[in-house]
Amino acid sequence: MRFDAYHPIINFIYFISVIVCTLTFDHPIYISVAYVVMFAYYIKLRGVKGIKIGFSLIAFAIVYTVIYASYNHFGVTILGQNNIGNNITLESIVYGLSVGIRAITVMMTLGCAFQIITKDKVVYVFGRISPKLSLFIAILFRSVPRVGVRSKAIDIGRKGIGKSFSQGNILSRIRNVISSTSSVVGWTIEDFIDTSSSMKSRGYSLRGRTAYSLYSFDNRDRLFLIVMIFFMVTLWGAWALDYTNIYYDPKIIMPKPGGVDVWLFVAYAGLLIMPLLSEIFSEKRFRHSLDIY
Amino acid sequence: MALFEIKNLSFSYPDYEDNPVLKSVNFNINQGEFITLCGKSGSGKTTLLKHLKTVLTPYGKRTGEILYKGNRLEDVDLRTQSSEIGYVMQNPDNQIVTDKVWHELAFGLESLGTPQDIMRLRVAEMASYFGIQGWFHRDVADLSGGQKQLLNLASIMAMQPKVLILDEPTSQLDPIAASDFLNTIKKINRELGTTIIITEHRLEDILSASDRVIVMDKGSVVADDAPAGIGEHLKTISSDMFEAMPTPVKIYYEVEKNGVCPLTVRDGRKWLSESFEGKDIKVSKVEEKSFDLEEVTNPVLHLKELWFRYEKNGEDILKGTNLKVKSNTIHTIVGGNGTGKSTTLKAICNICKPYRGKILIQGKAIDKYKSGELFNGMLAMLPQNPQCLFVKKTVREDLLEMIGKRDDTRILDEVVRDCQIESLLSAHPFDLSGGEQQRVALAKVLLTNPKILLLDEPTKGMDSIFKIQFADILNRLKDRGVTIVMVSHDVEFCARYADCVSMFFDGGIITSNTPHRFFVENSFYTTAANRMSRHIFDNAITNEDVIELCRKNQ
Repeated sequence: MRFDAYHPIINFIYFISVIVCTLTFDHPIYISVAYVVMFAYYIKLRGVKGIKIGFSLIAFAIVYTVIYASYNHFGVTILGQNNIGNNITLESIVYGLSVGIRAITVMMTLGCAFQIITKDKVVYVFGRISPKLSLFIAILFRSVPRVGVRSKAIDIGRKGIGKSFSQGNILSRIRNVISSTSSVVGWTIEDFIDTSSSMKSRGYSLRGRTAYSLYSFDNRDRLFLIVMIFFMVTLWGAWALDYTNIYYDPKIIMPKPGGVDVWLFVAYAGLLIMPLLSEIFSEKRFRHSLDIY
Repeated sequence: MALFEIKNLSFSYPDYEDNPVLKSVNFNINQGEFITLCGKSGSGKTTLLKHLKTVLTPYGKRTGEILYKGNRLEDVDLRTQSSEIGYVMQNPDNQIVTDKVWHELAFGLESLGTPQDIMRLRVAEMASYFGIQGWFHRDVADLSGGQKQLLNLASIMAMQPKVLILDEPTSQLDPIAASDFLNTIKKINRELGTTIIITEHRLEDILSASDRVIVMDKGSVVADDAPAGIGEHLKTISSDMFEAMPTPVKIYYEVEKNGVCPLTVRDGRKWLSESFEGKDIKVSKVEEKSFDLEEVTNPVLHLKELWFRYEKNGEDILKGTNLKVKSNTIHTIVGGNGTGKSTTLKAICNICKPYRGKILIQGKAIDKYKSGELFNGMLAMLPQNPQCLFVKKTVREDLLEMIGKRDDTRILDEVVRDCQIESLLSAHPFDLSGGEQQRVALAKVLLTNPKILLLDEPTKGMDSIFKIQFADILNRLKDRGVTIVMVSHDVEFCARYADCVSMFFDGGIITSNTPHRFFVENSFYTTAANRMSRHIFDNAITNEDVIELCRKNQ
């Protein structure tokens, strides 16, 4: 029911385009649209925790603005001087705020992406590029956490004979850490010899590797992709014609939005809100399907 | 047609050419056969199995040849070998390559370049056959050992092999998972006709399903016979591999023979009934060693109502655990997986701190001991995985780590002699076999000179001959005044060597008793000898008990 039910390619295109658009468009209305929609989606995915994190990110944006404005002094509207005699300008404050908000929008977008894009999806997408590469990533996902597990086992094992890094005086603690570390390394290498013979034994070195896919591209994905492309083409057109950006230096120049602008805002909001709407609709439909019985 | 023909195969590792691992091995393996290969650790079983697949064949000097379907194995291309010859190794964890169950199942097919639609069908088929659907999307790290080994098997079966080679596949599993796994192997052989070549310690489970048993000793084949005849064969050549035979076989050959040699507990019961038909049972009890647990007044180790959980909002693992251990005994704790047995050991040596309850060691609360005091001459624990303890390049250096600067090699020599590891001192600890590693780890632990020795599943992965040596070591320690607390799944070992057995269930010790009284009460959780003889004798729990009673009643 969530956006993660869509094909990984859709997930990737969506999140990449949101991040690229957020970073490129510096028109205040575009920035606000992206911020509002992504905050809403973040709350949808993370619940109460999302609200808390979302609001604490605002503080981050404000702090960033303050720092930015006290180090950058471009612009013509001088609001005052700081204690070392540099100008504090309206333009630098506004621009700092625009960067800060875009930054936290990207953070929330990444937060959403981590919820939606699972390890399986990463492996799949890389498998489309190269099966060997995706296998390499899958091996990393397996072997990196195992190092941690092993070092924990070693520490517990050594605790039982009084040789843990938390036992004895400082000198012996240091000695124990060194021994444990070398043991983790040795053990990891030793285990990997086994793993590599298991790989060889199952034909790892043969040419023409393929990649298993858990996913299939269905009509719903197609529809989503078409709508998404429609919005994206519109927006990149708008970008090329300079609708999505304004001037901050030396003076804030923002043309009064006309009819085309309104349509473009809607298109941008439309692109961003697609997963959220899709989730809300399918949840509604699911509840409805339960009503029948 | 013979699937494999092994002709005069000899092999030696480089630098050890005068000490060959395989000595002119000859035998054939036919399509669809179930072959059990047994032998002591170090008898060359694994080396032999590795020769049956070219990519795994170790480097060294080799003579003789191996034919696969009539062609020299080296000439069979990699693609054919990868898919047709499946190989399952000992350690469930290390064979798994990827992070997800679905990916692991598909791994072999991906290597073979199988197209997507066929791959999906094969993976689906295997997941259904092995009952993996429920955990198809899980991380492999979350699986139990048994599930991991089943996954390894399934991912090899997905390539539709003609022959399945298994090298001690269950040595790292608990008994229930092990017997499930072996049943799956039998099912594969019966239903799919896949040829099986397996090395295994747990002969009780597979001997009856095998077509042939091949016994190896010091690199040569010493017996190659049908399972019903193998006991006789080993008995005549008085091989110490006889010790590894299933309980019914051992009992059969020790008492006066009549009828056919039984291989399973069911046949054993029938055979016993037949031999005692119409006869009076004069003696139905063996003498028990007994001591009353209630009377343990001065326990060396005393746990009082321990409560423990790993996380604040987690479940309680220990729920009021009580235990008294008499000094100078071997006290074993048995029970299912994940019930909290290992956690209890960790609590005893202060790795886990219970949030309620008391641990008294020699009558003194554990937190009253200074940190150095506890692990120096009082307590020591041998972890489940001995590899956790090895930190140096050679066994000797590893042992020296424990005695530090003290130039006291006398104690070192003594421990080395006790654990029978003289010949291993210059080896790298990771190069040793499982049983050897276990003994080196034990030696390392013993160098702290503990009064209480805690062992976490020490017999895991040990063959029966090793177990006897290991029990000798434990008994010698006991004579010297060491108290041994041991967590184990190994019912047979506990019955034979323990002084006291406790059952752990649902966070607490349910009951403690002497092995005889403990196992006689149980009908499922007991030894093969007891299950085989309980309808005739009252309290026989070990093979020796049954043999003794059989002789007395002849």
